[in-house]
Amino acid sequence: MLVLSRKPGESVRIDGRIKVTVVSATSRHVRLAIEAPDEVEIHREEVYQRIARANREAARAASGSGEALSAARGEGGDAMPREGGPP
Amino acid sequence: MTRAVVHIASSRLGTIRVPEADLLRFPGLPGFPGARRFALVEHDHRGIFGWLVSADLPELAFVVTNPWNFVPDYDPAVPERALRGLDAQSLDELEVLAIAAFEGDRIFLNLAAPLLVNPKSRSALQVILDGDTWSTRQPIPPPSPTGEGEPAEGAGDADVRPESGGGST
Repeated sequence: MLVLSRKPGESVRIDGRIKVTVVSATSRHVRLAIEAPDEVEIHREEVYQRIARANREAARAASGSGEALSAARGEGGDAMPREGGPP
Repeated sequence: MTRAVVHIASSRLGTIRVPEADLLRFPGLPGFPGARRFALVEHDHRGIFGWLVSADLPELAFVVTNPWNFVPDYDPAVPERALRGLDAQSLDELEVLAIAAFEGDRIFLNLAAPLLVNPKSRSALQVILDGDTWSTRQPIPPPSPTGEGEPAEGAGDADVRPESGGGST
């Protein structure tokens, strides 16, 4: 891991195309401005991790055989969601 | 080249053959950064649920659905940069899918991070919506064999009725 010191107004450049500028800093908060191409996803870490966890849980559930999943396929009978979704 | 067929040895669905040009191309997904190419496969004959099967990680698959099947007032605020990343001017040009999590007889949709697909280019991404308007675990009603307008339950299908008999096994 690379650790750099920057003052407000100073920046770091990542991979030639991403610029992170320190806008302001106090003892408790640092405000960052990030300039990056549209295809670069930028998220607060805890938000990203929440979605990553949801994806891992969904993938794990899909690898099992939940009753509702079987029902959705109609295995063993005509057990399907209604046309047009829930009431 | 465009006729090339990819064989996916899915641990969940067996071997799937998909024209490479039909694969959806993601920049990776949160939690699965190496999963970039996916096949979209129908799960049920009415097209409510589908499988999103990874061509890169054969053990990885998601169940997906059109969120408006279950949440008619779903109104994701997709940021401009996500639209631009898929070469779209508006959400109308894209297909929207929600990942479903099945736990026993319960189903949850991740409405906080829908999948966006450009059907023309086959490029796709999972967008993380700002704010907490939409849940990562929105419960939806389990598929019911006894919905109005449906035939009454057929013979011998008690094993697919989550509501029958109380507790699950």
